[in-house]
Amino acid sequence: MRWPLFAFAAYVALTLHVGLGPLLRIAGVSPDGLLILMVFIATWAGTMETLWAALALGLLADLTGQAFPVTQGSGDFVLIGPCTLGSLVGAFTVLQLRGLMFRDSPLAWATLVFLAGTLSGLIAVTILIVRTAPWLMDMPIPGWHASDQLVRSFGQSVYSALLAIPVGWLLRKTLPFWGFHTGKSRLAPR
Amino acid sequence: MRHPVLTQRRVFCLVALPLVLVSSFVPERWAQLLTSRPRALAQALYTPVTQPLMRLTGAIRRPDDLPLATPQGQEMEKRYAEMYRYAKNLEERLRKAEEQVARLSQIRTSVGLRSAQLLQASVSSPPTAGPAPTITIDQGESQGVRKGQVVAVSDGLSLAGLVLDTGPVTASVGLITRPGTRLDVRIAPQTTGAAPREVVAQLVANEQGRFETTLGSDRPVEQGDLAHLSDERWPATAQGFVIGQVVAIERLPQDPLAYRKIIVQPVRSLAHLREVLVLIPAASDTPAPTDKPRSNSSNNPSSEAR
Repeated sequence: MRWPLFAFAAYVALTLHVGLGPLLRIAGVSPDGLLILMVFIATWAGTMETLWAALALGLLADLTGQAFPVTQGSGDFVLIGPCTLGSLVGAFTVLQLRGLMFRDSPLAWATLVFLAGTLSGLIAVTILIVRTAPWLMDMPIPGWHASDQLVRSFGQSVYSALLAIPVGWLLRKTLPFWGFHTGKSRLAPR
Repeated sequence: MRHPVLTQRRVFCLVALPLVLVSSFVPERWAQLLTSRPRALAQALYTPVTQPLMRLTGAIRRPDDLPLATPQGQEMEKRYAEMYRYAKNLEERLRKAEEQVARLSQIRTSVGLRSAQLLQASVSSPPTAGPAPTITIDQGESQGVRKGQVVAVSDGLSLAGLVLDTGPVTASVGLITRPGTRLDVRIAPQTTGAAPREVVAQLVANEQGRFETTLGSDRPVEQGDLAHLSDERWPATAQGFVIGQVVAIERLPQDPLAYRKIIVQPVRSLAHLREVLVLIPAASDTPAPTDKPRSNSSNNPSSEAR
């Protein structure tokens, strides 16, 4: 995988996610561009490349506080970890499932995005539940409710899956430029 | 074959993953220290691009701002215009009130009223049809209106009639134009000072709402002269009021050389009155409701009230 292209794509996805998120927001839920990019990479890239990319995209999501903005509500800080670990779990899931899916199918693509998004959200919410649980870490976040976050995360996964169909088609057009190694063959620019 | 110790997989699993896991559970203060610089760097990188995008978002999708109670812009202008109109309206009403006060003062002076009050009243029903036309006014006993009080036209110069009956808030007024009404008058030219000539006569109301009288040809009456009430049967406050103006002088067919018929018409049409003035005398001036005119003439419309 060409990492400069990944950095550029991550930057574009992040800026679109932050800048156009309010425009696309429906009922408080906006699609996650970083998730779509992560699933695209996890579908085509090698295992370790996918994991490093997922780690980077998760870090970006955590740093911007877009995925779980409530972590900023308790103070002027963000928490590195919930989205990163969620992204890693989502990427690992795609890595396991991609061999079973027809990668060029828009429906399969949307399904992967939905599954990865749902799992990422579950992991992130779980980490925050553990963090706030009084019998464990006892570090409460004012105004944060696990159920709200789960619903929001689920809605975001659905919305991202729907948006992934046209975006995935566009990304599929850029596939030759990424330099992905798929097995022993190499997808190179033609 | 020797395998390298530091592989991607080992670094990822033994370093990156535990670090992320640990950082998820660090206390708030440590998290702040850990993330402040990377966060600032990330913000510095994406803010130049996200700002125009957010402006675009704001232009396309307006925020759901709640309307403030504070009036702004056009609302302020609208309220100002309303207040301005209201102030103008008050100004106009004040001007009319001042004019009315001045007019009433002038009337009091001109008719020599000293102790009587002038009560303005609106006509709430037009003159009734029939042989005894009456009007209803919107002032009654609660405002001090009593039977027998004099009612003048709103110009304060012409006589309209007498109060025949009173209710709590209304009163019936018998008009002087009732056919057959007899009124003693002085006919004199319009002048502000002493009249150069004056003729005493008795007017009789006819069916057309006018008054007639027959005078000798030698009596100095001219067209345009005014007939002022000078009738002892009427209250003192009514004396001097204008009954009408001489509009025609005709020769009598029976004796055209010796007598003339004088036609007097009310200056203001009593059939179209909108406002009148009730002359409420002071307690000492209040005429007795049963004075002599009451039994004097059955044809007089005001005789009932007197």
